[in-house]
Amino acid sequence: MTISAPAIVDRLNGRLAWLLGVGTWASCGLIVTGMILSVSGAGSRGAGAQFVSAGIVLLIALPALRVAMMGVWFLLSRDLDFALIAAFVLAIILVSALLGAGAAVAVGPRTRGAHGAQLARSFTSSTKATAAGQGG
Amino acid sequence: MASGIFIVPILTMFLGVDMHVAIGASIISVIGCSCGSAAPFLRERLTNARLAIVLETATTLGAACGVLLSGVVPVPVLYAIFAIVLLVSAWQMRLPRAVVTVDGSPTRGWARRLDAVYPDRTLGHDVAYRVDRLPAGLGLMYGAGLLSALLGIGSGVLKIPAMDTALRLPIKVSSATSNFMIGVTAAASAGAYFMRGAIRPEIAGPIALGSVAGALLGARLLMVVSADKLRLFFVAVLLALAVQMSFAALGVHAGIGG
Repeated sequence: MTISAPAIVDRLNGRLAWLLGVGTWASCGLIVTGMILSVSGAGSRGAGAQFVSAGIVLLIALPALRVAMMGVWFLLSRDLDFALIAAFVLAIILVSALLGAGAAVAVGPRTRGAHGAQLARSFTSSTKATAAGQGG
Repeated sequence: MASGIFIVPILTMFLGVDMHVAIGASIISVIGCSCGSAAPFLRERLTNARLAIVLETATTLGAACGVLLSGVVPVPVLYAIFAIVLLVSAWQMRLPRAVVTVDGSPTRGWARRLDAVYPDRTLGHDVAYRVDRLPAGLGLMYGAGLLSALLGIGSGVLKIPAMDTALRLPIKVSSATSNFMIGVTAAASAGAYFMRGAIRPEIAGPIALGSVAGALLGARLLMVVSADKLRLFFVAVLLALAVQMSFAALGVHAGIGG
């Protein structure tokens, strides 16, 4: 029943290493693809930026996925206190992101330059995007 | 390692990027650095995943508070505070550390479940270690999370002394575990910054790639370097960053008018 048995630690650590490794490469792949698309002009400029955005979203989500994986692992190994702790950390991450969405500050308007329309399309409603397009 | 802390000053001062956009790009690089270098530490059993998830409750709470504060606190003030914190950290690291002795006292309650074993390559055998003063460690981690979210840095430079002096972990374990935690801490604030639109793909994308590349090299290095050299290196980095932050506090002040 010793929890720090190297074999058990190795299995959890091994899976976490796999998740983070694969996730990082996938994210980098998306970002590189997007940058190549943007530079070569193969697709429209928007397509390249969307690949890069997808890569960044995956990178942000990766640590949260890692916490979720740990939570499931602890749950399956009947480690309920650690499973609860993992769930708590996951909840804080989600609440923090939602707080950021709620407090959508003046960053948008101030940085609205050449890429403003694209930003607006990604992050605000379609009506706002139309307004930004007319302004720029 | 500690790359995030250079990105905000370079982007804002040399490339004229908006402060919030620079912080957004930097926090992405912190995640890239953490995730990119995590695998070898995990496989070597240097990372204590249980300890990490416990401390992450404090760092993510700190990050959530930092996100809320980020619009309120003036940035030059933060740079000045951070320069002081870095100096204190460097002082702590420079002092000769007491050798971790296994005294006869029985380990205390729940925190005992965080104790673990790691393989030390330079010694050639496994080393058992225990976790001391968990409440103090949690308090410091909350502060580290707060600064991480506010400044867009990993604040690994803060976490490592915290784990070293409060929790009294072996330095390789503390480096690997804090590096593991940085990604989750940064994700808590990066999610918020992304929702705000402060993360611009054309700036954050290339920086993410660079940080992953740098992290892969850094992790290989940490495996083969001895603990004493690592300690010296961290002291040097901490001092250099303290000087840099002091200039930033004054520089940003002067730059606001122009």
